[in-house]
Amino acid sequence: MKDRRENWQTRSLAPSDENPRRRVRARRRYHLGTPGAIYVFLTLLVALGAFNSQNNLLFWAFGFALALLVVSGLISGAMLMGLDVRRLPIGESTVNERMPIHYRLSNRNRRMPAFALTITEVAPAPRRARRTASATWPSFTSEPSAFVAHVGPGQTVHGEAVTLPTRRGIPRFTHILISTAFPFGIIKKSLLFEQTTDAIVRPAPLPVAASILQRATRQGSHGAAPTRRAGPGDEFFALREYVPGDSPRAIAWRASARGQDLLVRQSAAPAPVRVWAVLRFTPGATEQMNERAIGLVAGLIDTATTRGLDVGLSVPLMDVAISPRDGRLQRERLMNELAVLDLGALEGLRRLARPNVDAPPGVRGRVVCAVVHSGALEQDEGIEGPGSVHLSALDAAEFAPHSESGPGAPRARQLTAIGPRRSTVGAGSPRP
Amino acid sequence: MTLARHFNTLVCLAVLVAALSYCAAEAKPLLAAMTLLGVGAGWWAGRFDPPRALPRYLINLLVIAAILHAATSTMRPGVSVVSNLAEFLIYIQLIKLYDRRTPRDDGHALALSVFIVIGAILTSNGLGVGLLLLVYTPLAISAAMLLQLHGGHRAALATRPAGEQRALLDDPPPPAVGRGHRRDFRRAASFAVVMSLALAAAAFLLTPRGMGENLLGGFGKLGRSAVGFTNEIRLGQTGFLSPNDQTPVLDMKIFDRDDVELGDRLGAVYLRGAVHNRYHNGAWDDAPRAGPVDTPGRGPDGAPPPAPVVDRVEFAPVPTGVPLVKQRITLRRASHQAYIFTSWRPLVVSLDRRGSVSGSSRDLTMTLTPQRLSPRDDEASDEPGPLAYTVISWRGYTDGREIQRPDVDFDNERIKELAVKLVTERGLKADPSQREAAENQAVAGLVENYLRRTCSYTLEMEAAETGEDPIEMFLFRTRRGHCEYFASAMVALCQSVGLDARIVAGYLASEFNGVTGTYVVRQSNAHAWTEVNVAPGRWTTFDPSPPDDIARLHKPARGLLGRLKQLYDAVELTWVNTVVTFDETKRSGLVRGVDTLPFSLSELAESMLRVGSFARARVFPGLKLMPLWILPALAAGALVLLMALRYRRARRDDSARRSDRDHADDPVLKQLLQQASFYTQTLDALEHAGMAKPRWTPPLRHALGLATRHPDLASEVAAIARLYYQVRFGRRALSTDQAADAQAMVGRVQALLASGSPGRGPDPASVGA
Repeated sequence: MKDRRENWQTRSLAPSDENPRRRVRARRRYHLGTPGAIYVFLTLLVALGAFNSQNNLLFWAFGFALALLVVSGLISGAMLMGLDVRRLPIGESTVNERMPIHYRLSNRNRRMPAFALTITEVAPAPRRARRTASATWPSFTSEPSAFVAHVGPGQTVHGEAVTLPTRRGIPRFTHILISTAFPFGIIKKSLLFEQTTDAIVRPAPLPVAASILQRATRQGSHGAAPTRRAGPGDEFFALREYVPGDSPRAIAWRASARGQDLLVRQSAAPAPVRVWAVLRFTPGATEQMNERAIGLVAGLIDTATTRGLDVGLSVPLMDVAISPRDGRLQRERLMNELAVLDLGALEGLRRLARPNVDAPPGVRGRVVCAVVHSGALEQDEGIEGPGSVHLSALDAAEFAPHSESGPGAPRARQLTAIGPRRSTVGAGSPRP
Repeated sequence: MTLARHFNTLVCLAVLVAALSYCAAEAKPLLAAMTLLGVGAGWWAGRFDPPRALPRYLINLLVIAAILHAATSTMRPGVSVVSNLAEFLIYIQLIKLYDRRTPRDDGHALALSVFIVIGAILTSNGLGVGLLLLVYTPLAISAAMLLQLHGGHRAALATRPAGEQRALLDDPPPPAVGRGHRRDFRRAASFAVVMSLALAAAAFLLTPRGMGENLLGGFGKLGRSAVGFTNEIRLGQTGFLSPNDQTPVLDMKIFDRDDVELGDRLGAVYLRGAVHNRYHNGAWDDAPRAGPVDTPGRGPDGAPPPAPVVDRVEFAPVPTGVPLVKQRITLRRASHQAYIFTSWRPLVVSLDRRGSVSGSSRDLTMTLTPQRLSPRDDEASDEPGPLAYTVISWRGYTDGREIQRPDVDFDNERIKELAVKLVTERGLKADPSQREAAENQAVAGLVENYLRRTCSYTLEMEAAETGEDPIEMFLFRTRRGHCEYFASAMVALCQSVGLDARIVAGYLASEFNGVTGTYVVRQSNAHAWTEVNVAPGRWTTFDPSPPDDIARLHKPARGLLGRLKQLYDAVELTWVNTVVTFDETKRSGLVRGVDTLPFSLSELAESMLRVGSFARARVFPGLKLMPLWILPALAAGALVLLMALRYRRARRDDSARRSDRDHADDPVLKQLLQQASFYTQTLDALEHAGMAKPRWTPPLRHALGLATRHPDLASEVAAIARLYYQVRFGRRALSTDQAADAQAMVGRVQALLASGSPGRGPDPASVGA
């Protein structure tokens, strides 16, 4: 597991290929599309008419049609000769949100400018039947296409293609195709470059109402040790000397009386609420249900991060456990982890009898668990603490903020009531 | 936005020129005007981004209307398929201009324009079409190139996610481009145009001719024959007889017996071509006649013997002591079995080019199969090309062998009744056996006058009703028609009263070019008239068409316009001789070498000289004293000057654009630099004095570099450079005093440079002393 995570992290920073710009010179191609076929047919027709009628203007038109073919080949051939393209690293994106892909197009030709260049991605192999987290891009998104109208001699121009990924995972982009029909649109010429880049597509977070987490924190494990820093809590932390400006109400009169100086009583900072987002893949759940559960977990993480809570991720079946932390970086880390979950490996993991019900490792502070089930709620499983909230991805629509006052609200309450019936998990020792 | 606007303009221009080329080929000014308006409005609609388009239902209605119009035109007799199709395509193209929703629609409009151009080529090979094609070529090439840019940009935007696609297409961002994209595009387009034209010219010259001719029947042949000489006379067709085909057909000079040019003293001259004497179902053809058939090309049994290849045909011995007329005629393009046009009964025909002559001396019609003008072989061929011949005639000559009166009759009771009524009303006898021979002339004149008086001339051809004879329609119902109706009616009336008459098709030569001393005969001079045998062997010409209408129709243009037209004709003659009539003989000559060229460069040069001389003498008489070479020299000089100015302007524009780009994101600096005009003035002055600052040298260093030779100048320039540094890099505005000082220093620099000795340093020798 650790190795796999390191792999995608490395790939996300740089192209995964050792030689990222390997140009395949043998792959220069000429395509005679429909316009070209019509043009050739028309040329032949003009030639027939010219020879049959000996009409000299038709001969001129025939000669002109041939000349256009030659000039088209000359210009486009010279144009493509010095071109080089590189795909820039692709940033993380989310399902159903725009994923820009940037290309750097260089023209090493000293005299010939290049015009009307369309940059597209090419998938060398046909689309694979089994959808895994890492596959070529066609199973993730439509064909990205960038257009660069002009690259002067010796110049470099950047082009942008924007696409919309439809599923999470690691789409792999392996080949870049530069094509142009310039100057006349008769023949389409193309040049293929090989460069592998992996992107990360995170799951689209399903909306989760903040009230779900509020209820969980109310029922979460209390009595955890206070933090070791001063703060606005109730627990005693330490005494210190009075400094002007301290509230007189904070002066520890008794302790001060024992000594020479005024002492002030400091409170310990309250322990933060730490949320474990636990993802459980229900046996027999379809891929769609599992994906929805992942989206729901992403929504939980989003909501928790927005409210400033520490949040961690646990996927017991896949041995994923990331301790709760707060902040944007933590959120991105968790989202990336969700992005690379390989649902194709689920069956194999189940056959290995990997536990699906492990509780997350213990941490200090107030811990609550939000357990997301990809299928129906499992009454007999669950070893998370008394504050755990169990959510079913089947009812994902009811956890959205708009449903709090709507018909979904009672269902959410009912769900949160499941938690206290579970076995008690003590603070500081989440395992039974 | 700029790309879209330029593209729109180019597409509309290409579409317009294509449509105009067809209108020029078909001589349809109304269609041209309509196209002009339609394209203008389409251009306006295309200026918006995205272009404004008519609603779909309206577009569909317009297309249906165009289809219906084309269908009805197809059912109309006399309309060629090519013309119909090209006109239909013009309508569709115009509709398409209002239905441009994507760049693909622009591509469709461009493709349609190509088809229309081919339609124009199939309709006419005239100079006007050729010139418009020359204009069309760069427009279409540039538009096609811009289409790739515009269409590619739009196609890439269309692949964007649906959410942002609409906003992007409504207000598209500019495409990714490098520096100098406009200049690069201009160069690429120029290269494409020049290369295409050069390669097309090479292909035109090297493509073998003569192969595969007529393999596919009439496919690809010029479709229009609404006007002009034809040996077929068929009445009762609808349409409009266009008199606008000004294509010259032949040139004719007339001499007397002593080879003295008669100029235009003979006035309008009838040139006879085909003759017909038998009418059947609206068409005229030749009936076998009694009488001598003594043409060397035909045997006594009527079967054509092998026609001898000759260069002189003598029909009768040339008499002495009688006034003779010599006609020197040059057919510009004589095809297979060309008619030999003559005005009077020929005694001798001399050919410049050997060929086999066949025909009837009785009807005075001859055809010639010209011989190949190949330097290698003598095989007879039907290659078209110029043909010149001389005809010697005696205007008063009659053939005494035609002494018998043939038994002629016209089989139409209604016409016969009219003819009898006409003749008997004037006291003449309708029965030829009772009529004196001397009265034949009067009868013919009577019929001629009747037709001129009662019928009117029109170019509109009207179809006869079902079962109605076209001549009957003309005489009794419409009383309107063109020359063939008048001539046919006269022949019918004459034959109805036993007069031997025939209809003649040919040309009426009325346009005399005083400069060259030749009659220029055009396709529009085609005419039909009547000949009546008023006495044994004496055929007299009668032209029943109203003389005023004929004169108006055949009247040559006068004044400056007329001279310009003659100039155009001369250029067109060159065009015809070099392009239109370019054949295998010329091509093989060209391939073999200049020495063997039957159509040589000297011929072309001679043509150009002739055009130049005429232009100088007639069109621009003020230039008469100017040597001829001055005009092309001036034109070349002007072209070079224009290119130099263009280059200079382009450099300045580039520099200004670069400067604008450099300071585009720093408006404060841009404003500050407006104060630094003194610096550019100094640089200009230095450049004019040959001390230009290299671009890579900083201003102060350049000033210090001048110090060794021009210390005074250098100190001034250095002071100016420091002020410039203050503004440019110190970003401090000049005070009023500093600005005045800077201007004063510029003045001193200019004065030093103008004085020719910008402060030379002390002479080392004197310093040493």
